[in-house]
Amino acid sequence: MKTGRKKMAAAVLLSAGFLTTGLGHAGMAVWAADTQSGKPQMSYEEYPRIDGSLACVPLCEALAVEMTGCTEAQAEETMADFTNTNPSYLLLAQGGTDILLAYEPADSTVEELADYEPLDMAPVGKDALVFMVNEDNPVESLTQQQVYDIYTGKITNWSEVGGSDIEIKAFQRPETSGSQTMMRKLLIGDAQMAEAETEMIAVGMEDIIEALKEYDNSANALGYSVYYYASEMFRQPGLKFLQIDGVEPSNETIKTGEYPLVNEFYCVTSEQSSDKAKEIKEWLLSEEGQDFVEECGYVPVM
Amino acid sequence: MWKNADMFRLCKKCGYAVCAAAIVSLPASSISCYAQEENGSVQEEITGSLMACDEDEYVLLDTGNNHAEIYDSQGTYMGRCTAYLGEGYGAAIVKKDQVLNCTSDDTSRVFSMAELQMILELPEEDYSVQVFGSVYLVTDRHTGRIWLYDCHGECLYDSEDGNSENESLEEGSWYGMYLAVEGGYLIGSIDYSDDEDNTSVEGPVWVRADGQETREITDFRLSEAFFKNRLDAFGENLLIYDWDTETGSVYDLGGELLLDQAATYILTYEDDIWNYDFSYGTSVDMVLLEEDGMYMAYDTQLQECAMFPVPEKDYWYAEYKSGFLKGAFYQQLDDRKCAGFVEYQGRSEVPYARTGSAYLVYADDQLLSVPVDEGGTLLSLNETYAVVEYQEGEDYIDYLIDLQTGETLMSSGQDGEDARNFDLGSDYCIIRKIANDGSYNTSITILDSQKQEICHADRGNAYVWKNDHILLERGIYHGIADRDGNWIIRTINGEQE
Repeated sequence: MKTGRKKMAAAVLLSAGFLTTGLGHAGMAVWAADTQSGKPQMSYEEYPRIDGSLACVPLCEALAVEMTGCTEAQAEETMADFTNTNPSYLLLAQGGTDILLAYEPADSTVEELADYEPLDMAPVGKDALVFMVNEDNPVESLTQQQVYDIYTGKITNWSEVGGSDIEIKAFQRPETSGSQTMMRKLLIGDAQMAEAETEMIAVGMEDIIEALKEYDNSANALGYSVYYYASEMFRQPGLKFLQIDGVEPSNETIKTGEYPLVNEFYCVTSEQSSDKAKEIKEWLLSEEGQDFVEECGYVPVM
Repeated sequence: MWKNADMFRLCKKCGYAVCAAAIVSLPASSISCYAQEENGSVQEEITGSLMACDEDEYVLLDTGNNHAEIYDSQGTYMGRCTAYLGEGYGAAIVKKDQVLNCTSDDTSRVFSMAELQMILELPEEDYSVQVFGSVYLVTDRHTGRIWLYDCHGECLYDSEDGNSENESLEEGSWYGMYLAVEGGYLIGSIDYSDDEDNTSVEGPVWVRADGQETREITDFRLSEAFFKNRLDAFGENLLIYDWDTETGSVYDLGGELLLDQAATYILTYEDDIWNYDFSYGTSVDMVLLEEDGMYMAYDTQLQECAMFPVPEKDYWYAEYKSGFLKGAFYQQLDDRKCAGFVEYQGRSEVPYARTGSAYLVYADDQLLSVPVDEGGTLLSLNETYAVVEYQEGEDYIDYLIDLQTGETLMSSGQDGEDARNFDLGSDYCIIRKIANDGSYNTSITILDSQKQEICHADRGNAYVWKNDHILLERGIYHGIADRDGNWIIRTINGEQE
């Protein structure tokens, strides 16, 4: 176990270091926050082509309304070509879009991005990796170590973590998903995750939540997602969030850092991005922009 | 609570919703059913795989763990079918009046929904089970013996009780020919087919079962050669068509002859299937019959006939498809009786008829005329618009017509930038632009009954839905919206990520 934990920690540090220093070989750099920018003004037609992660779509839409004064319906239309986390990075690098609001890309995507001009990433908000169980499950809290042991196959029965004597059915996400990227970065690192049956790997974020809710109608399933999506976009009755190290996930505990599995999401532009896109990014990093992020239900980074 | 028949399926994979009433079987994709209150707000969400539903009464959802939940059309939870065995089920039928029939690979199980307990278990290879209204019918596949049970398991009828004639029915395949009639009546006969596929009829056995009374009705004049006749029902009347004389007669359920071979019943034969080519209505209780160039509308409530000229026969849209035609009407016009059909496709119920160079449309309490040149075909209509299609060369061009003025508002255009199609709702029209690659996810515009634009999206798609609502795709979402494009139910496209 100790070896695994060291690997996990190393992976997290490596990833964090890469992001904060903007290593050139990965084709990305990170901006510093500018707190003095004014809110840009633009027409709906001038609004840049925007893409990103599914959990950031509501923020993208709210941004369209804020920047252009368009209707919510028009804002939804701006996401018609939405591609999701990893494809969106590549599309931006290829000049297909102007700006992203996205979670961190998978390592495989970072490798592909090395073939393109560097992207400019600026953290604009925080989200957390959260774990969910059926509400009938008596377990309320797990430690990071317990979650690690479950997903690496060391713990296989709920009774080992204070629950009933039933097998743990641990749902996973595909390696290319944003949630899985966060899972690896924050918890698992390079460790080998326990082999999961095909039906235990949920393709979409909503799939894992639905699977948890419906799986066998019992309390032995465990799954994970990002907090904003699971709490705001696809909240399902019959599920509950687990405390991690005794801390309930919430905007407050994510903001204060009490909740341990927190990661940032980014505003990303490229050299080819339109000026309006770059203005939007600057504004999101400003105090006003960060207030806007919070008003939209997200946790600001500042 | 839900409006009538407002249970629908919203497939998160394909973004398509269909009325439960139209669903018999479905892929096992996950669905969500929503209870929608009169004010449009969502009351609750039920998630599961739709196993079966009847026309508008009950819906059976597979909610996992080999359980099925039953909801009525109001979205009210009726109970859980705990005896349902999941894998390998072949079909499931939910019918009104608290009868549920689940058929697995090897057994048919009949449940009383009121008690939610198994009351009969029969090997599928030996018995078939059919549910009609408040009763269910069990047929011995080997002998043809039939039993009729109510939903509490009480036997209402046994074909062998006091009927020794049926005991000789031992060989060959027996199958029932049954018909549910409104009000819980059941009328049936047994067909027999031997190994050489010679089909004949032993019987007939006529059963009337209303939960109170069960008796045989054998005094129909045509009973001796039942198979030579075609039986159908409308309201609480029967139409029996004599295949030999090609005449139709109308009886009431007591066997009284109401209309005696007075008209020719229109039949068409296509693809080895005899199609009904007449309409009977649940609302107007009318049957249309043709004779000598005249249509005759028989009003079963007034018990009188109205004769009217037959327009060019080919122009009558009287195909019988399940749920397609819901009724008929006739209308006094210029001292003539005119007839038309109520078209029902889950979106509009506008009576119309074609009279040569025009369609007569009964809309907005008026009889309107839509001029149609030769070769034009009415594709759809509502209270405000009609869509007529013409073939022009190798292309089919659709025209959107204002019913009130007869004016053509727009055409579907040719391939390319101008290509679009029209989808009519209750009193609105969705104009859907078609992309060069043939896809639809481009722009949509919705016109209301005043021909005013009430919704437009440059990037999206919309389909007509029930209760003045639309199925809408916009951005990453799809769901149900009002005609103005305001979401009632919005879900995230399941294909994301």
